[in-house]
Amino acid sequence: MSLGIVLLFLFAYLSLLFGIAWWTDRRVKLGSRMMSNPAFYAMSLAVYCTAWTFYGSVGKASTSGISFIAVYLGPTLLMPLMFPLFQKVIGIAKAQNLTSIADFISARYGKHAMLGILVTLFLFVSMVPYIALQLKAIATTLPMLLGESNASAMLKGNLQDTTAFYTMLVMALFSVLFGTRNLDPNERHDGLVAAISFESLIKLVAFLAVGIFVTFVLYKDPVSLFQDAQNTQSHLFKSAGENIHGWDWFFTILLSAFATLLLPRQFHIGVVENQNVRHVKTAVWLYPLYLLLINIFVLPVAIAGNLLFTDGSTSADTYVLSIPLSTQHYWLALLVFIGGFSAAMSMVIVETVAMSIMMSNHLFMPYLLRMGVAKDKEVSNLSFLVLTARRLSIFLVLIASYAYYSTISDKYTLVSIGMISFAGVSQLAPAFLGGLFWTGANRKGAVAGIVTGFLLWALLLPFPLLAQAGLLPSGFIESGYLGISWLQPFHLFGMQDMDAITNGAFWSLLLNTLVFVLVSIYAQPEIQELSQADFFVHFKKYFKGQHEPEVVRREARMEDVVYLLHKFLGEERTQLALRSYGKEKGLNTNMLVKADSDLVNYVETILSGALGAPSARLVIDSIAKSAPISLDELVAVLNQTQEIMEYSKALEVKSKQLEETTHRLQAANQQLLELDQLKADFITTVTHELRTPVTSIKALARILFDHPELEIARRDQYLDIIVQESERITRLINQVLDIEKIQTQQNSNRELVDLNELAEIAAATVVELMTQKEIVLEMNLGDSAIQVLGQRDRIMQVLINLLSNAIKFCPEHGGNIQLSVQKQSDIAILTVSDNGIGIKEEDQKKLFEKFSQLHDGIGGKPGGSGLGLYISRQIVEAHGGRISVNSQPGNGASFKVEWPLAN
Amino acid sequence: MERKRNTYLIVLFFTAFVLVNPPMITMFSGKRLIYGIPSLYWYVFVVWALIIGAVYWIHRPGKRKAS
Repeated sequence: MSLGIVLLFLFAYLSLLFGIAWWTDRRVKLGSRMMSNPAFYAMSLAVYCTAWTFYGSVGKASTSGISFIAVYLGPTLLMPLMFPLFQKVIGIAKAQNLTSIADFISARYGKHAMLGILVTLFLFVSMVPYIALQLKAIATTLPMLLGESNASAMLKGNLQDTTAFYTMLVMALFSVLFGTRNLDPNERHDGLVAAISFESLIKLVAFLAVGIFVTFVLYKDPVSLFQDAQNTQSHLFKSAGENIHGWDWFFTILLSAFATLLLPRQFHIGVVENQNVRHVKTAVWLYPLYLLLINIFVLPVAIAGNLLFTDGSTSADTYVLSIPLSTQHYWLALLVFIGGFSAAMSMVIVETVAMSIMMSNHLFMPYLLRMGVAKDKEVSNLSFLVLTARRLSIFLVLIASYAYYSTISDKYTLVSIGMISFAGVSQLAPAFLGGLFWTGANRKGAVAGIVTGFLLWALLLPFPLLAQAGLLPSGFIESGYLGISWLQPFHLFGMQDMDAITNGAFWSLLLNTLVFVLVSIYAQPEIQELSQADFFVHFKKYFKGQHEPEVVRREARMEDVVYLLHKFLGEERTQLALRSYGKEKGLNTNMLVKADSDLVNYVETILSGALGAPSARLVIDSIAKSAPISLDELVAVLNQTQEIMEYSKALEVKSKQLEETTHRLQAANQQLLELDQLKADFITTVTHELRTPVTSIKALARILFDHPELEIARRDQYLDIIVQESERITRLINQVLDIEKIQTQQNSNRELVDLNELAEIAAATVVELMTQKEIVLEMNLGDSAIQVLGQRDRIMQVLINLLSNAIKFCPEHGGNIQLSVQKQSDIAILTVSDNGIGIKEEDQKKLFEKFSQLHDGIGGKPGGSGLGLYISRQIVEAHGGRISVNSQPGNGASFKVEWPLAN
Repeated sequence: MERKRNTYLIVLFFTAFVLVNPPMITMFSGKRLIYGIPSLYWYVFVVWALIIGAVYWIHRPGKRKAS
């Protein structure tokens, strides 16, 4: 294909791109909202796919199969986390107007100039080879398209260099025109983004075209292609963990994910050029879909290339172009070349624009401003100065890249240079991600981590590779740095089995992260860092602040904060609270002059515990804002609040006491109610017992009154019953009175009583009753006097009670009662036993209670009030004694009374 | 709503991470062809497409507008 045709098409294509960029800029200026379509955002993110993707993937696939795909799986794996992450990153960048990755990192760590310079320089070092790689891709492919067989080797070399040079110029021109045309405060370049999106489309179309050609035209279908390869190239079908080391695969994924976030061009397109955070929601699926499509034919093309070019004279990196050329499909080859040119160009342009923003903002402008250049200039001249710095930076980056290309880039494959740049840019990941999620991350940690990471990266990756290329003495690769064997750059600390990239990425990222974390923990952050740390990490609360105007950023003088805490918490608790806060945040609160919003929030939370949330808010507002009420006034008001709170606390205690008292009263009341019930029962029973005899007396008296003619015998009988019933009433009343007496006068009228004597008198009293029922009484009295201290009449009452009970339950004939009085050590024991009907066990328990009368169904209701045994028990217990019964139904009963002997 | 979505996203991230890394990926290694295409090729691209589909489903536009 002749140079003229190629240049014509190239020129047409470039004109189209310039046209798109120019037209877009114009439309947007006139108020068009065309760029608010999220597809532009997603497509321009595909600037990730460079000439490396376009040519290099096939090169890598031709030797190691599917392992090339890890570079695209990294971004894909990032996509699920992309929206929450970018919501934060874009929000922060827009809120603080941050326009590059260097700006972002230096802003996070206190907007310190030093960090910005550091990041910019390191990125410059990492990106120049990567840009050179793009120049190389175009410089190698253009001569091929023109027909390298026609050109001599010498001419070919010249042609390549010339191509690279002019390519560089064209790209510089485009970058300058659309990247630095005017100074946009947001660093938005709509025309540039539109052109980049278009280029993304072109490179996808071009690659799909060659893929479909190879798979479906050159071979009938993929099946026949893979079958051809199955035996000769089956190693290409093996996965990571088999044909390449699993860790190599993992680290490629990791580095490419970091690169998607941190590469200057990715940050520029993804964050700075973002029009609307919602566009990210489209990009998270459209962008990986793009990556999938552009990679789907890589392996078929690689296999076809391996099958076609068996002699090894054709570099696998150029298969994409060589295949259509060798099969005389020149138009396809031209499309492929333009696709590759697009891939390279879009990357170079965005990368240089992003680098130029960094370089002018962090290197040139601070320097110029410090030199006083800006002071005597007018504003318009200042912006011209910035643009000039940008343009100079663009040329500087591109000239450095060209120089790098012409010196060494032909020594590497496309992929290895790309991966080294990825590993370099990944050194920003700990400081970037740590800064987003960890308030403790500080500037000293970030600087130490980044410097450590980049030094190790340089020592482990670019240096040994430069040495391998013959630009440095290469002895240290084998013998190790300083001649120490475990400092071999490709096998640091003796690590084997991993390739150079994995080895370098692992050690540099590991030590980078470690140094970053440890220094952050031990070093004191500076005061201006703290508010930025809070803003970046807790961005959401500031973000929400836009919708809730009352949630404002509050700052206060430390002096006021301490005064407040003292006022409400006292000296000791104030110190404790501040110390625990300082410990958590890794700072010394005594050194603070200003309390940032985080500390103010913390203090508010603490005060809420003492004052209640609304009061705490009021207090904080008085010191955190220029409040209309003075602090002293407010404190006076709040002292009252505190008093009220204390008062209410005291009330709470009182009410608790009251509650306890109420419980006790309730218990007492319950007891009283029970007693009352008992009393009521007692009266009911007594009146019932009284009514029965009264009723019969009344009836008999009426008969006698109404019938004076009754015979004498009948009249006497009735009168006798009346007398008996009257006696019964008298007895009952006496007994009830007795109970009252026993309970009230327990200890009066005590005298020495001889139980032997008393037993004899009692027996004599009841002997008449016993002879009537033919009962035999056996007396078993003690030899000497058995004396107890007590009331004689009462003890007698007990004896008569027990004896008359025994008589009552003895059978009519053959009754037998035993009365014994014995002395056992210091106790007098009196027993009354009978051979009567006995008492059931369950009845024995109730026996000594009021009005317990036994019903056995044989004897019917026995005569008596049911108070006898109850009174006996009362008397015995009043004398410090005990009464018990032992009985078996049908075998009689034995009552035993124990009294303490008198002395 | 947002919390639920973020939970889905994190689960998806870890699932995807496991699916595309060894040892999972080694299960499909080898020269076996399925419908004439290497099994590993099938596996990687199907998993890839599923991840994209899941990301799309979680961020699908209609659902968010309704809330």
